[in-house]
Amino acid sequence: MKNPDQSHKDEKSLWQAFQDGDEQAYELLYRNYFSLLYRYGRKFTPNINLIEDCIQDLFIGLWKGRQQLQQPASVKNYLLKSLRLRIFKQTSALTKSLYQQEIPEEYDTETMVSYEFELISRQTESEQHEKVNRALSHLSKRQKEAVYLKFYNNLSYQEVAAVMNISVEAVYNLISKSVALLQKSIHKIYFLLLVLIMS
Amino acid sequence: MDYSDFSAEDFALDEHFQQWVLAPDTNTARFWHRWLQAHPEKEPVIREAEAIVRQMSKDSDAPAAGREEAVWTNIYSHLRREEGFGQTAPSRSRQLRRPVFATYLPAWQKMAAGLAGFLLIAALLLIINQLMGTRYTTGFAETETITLPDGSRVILNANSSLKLSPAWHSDQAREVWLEGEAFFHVSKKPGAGNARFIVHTDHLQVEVLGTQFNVNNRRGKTKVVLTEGKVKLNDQDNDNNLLMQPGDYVEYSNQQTSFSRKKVDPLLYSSWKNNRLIFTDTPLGEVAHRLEDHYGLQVVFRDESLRELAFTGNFPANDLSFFLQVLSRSLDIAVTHDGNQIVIDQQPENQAPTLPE
Repeated sequence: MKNPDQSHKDEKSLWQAFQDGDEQAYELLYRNYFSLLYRYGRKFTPNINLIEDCIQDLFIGLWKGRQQLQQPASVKNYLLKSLRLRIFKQTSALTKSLYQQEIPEEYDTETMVSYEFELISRQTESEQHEKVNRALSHLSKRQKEAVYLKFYNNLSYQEVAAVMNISVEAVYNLISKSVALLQKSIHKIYFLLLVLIMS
Repeated sequence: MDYSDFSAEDFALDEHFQQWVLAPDTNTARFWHRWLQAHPEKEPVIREAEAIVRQMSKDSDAPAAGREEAVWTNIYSHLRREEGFGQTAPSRSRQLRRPVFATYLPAWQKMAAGLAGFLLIAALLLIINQLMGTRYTTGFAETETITLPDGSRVILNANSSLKLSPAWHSDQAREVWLEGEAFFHVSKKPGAGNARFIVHTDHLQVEVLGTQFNVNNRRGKTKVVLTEGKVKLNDQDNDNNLLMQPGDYVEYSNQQTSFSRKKVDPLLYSSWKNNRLIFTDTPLGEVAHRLEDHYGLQVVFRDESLRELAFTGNFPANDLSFFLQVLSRSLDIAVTHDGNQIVIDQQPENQAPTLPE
């Protein structure tokens, strides 16, 4: 795994030390999870300033409220879920506020990316990873979120459901549709390779 | 579980199988190796499922370099202000950032005379540090947030370096030397003593009292943009000086040896520190300079007249290919990115027909 996957026991004692006011434990928590949380935030919004603000507030809130906190069953899942709620709160507040144009504008750039991306991908169709990326870029935001939690974070279907606050069945549907999409593109590559070898 | 009728898709969705690909332990590894031995005809299906799981475990949304540090600096200074954070024991990053000699100082006082050898080494380190000062550097496409000993913050842009004067004592001015570009957030010096803060560039000294400003020392010119507060500019010989107001943009080069001043929106000049590239009616030639400075690329104009085209846009700094695509589309020009080089040209259909000679 790419992410710092500490053993359950280490995570527990780190959290305990942080709750007891150990500043180094707190900083370690931040450093262990910053990249993971940032990547997760990107599944909801391309607005990186918003993501960074939410991570910052999340950690400041953790320190200030550390005495009232419970030891979560999984620190990682707890942080992922907290960030998710924060970003949702912020984006819905943003759309209501004066900055209303900011979000649609950002979303425009995103749809443009996938359009441009398609143009480019078409030119380098022979390359496997381009094709796979293209398939993945067609996933919906919710599919991307579920795929990130399931495969990058290696959470169980049940854990993904708890973080996303939906049923296990709904998670399974999101993931299986994503897998089907990717499989199709991989299949095509295999087929192409076969044709090349035969000819 | 009977896996014999499973398709690649079914395997990819199976948690036990995912576990083997993503975080194998001896149990899962043993199970799947045995299963494969018993069902050798399933090998291609298993490989395809493995490829699917591996592809899906990739993620391309990594934060840009320096962001983890920048957000941590914000958290740290917020908690320091409101919660007295960092007063009891210095945090790990602070210890790392401290110049070498500082870690020896408390030890010095406690050290008995018998440890003279150690003292000698410490003294040597101190002398070296005095001579060299502390230096921070950034590579291409990377920014770094530095907290100076007085609490001032400097965000160093890509491909830049900042040297600190060796001594930051209360009776001396705080001095730094800049190559490249940086945004300064200078805090008022705590307590009495000399409050001057000076940024040296190849051409100028920027002298400051508690303020925020951007300095760009590249391509034989120094450009200063003031966001807040007041700064004074002195040229090398101290013949010319100028007092800047917020919103001022001042350019100086050794060729001109005079200050040229205009009013700008300071946010546009420091947008890089939030990892964004912002241009408003910026000539394409200047946009090219930004790309060269930030990413270390070489930009070639096949048609020099294109340098004058004005470009407006707001982009994340970590997505070069997206930026180039929009550049090409909005100005209707051909932009090709090949390795370390970007070539800018007219769109083929727009080219004036060339007459045979």
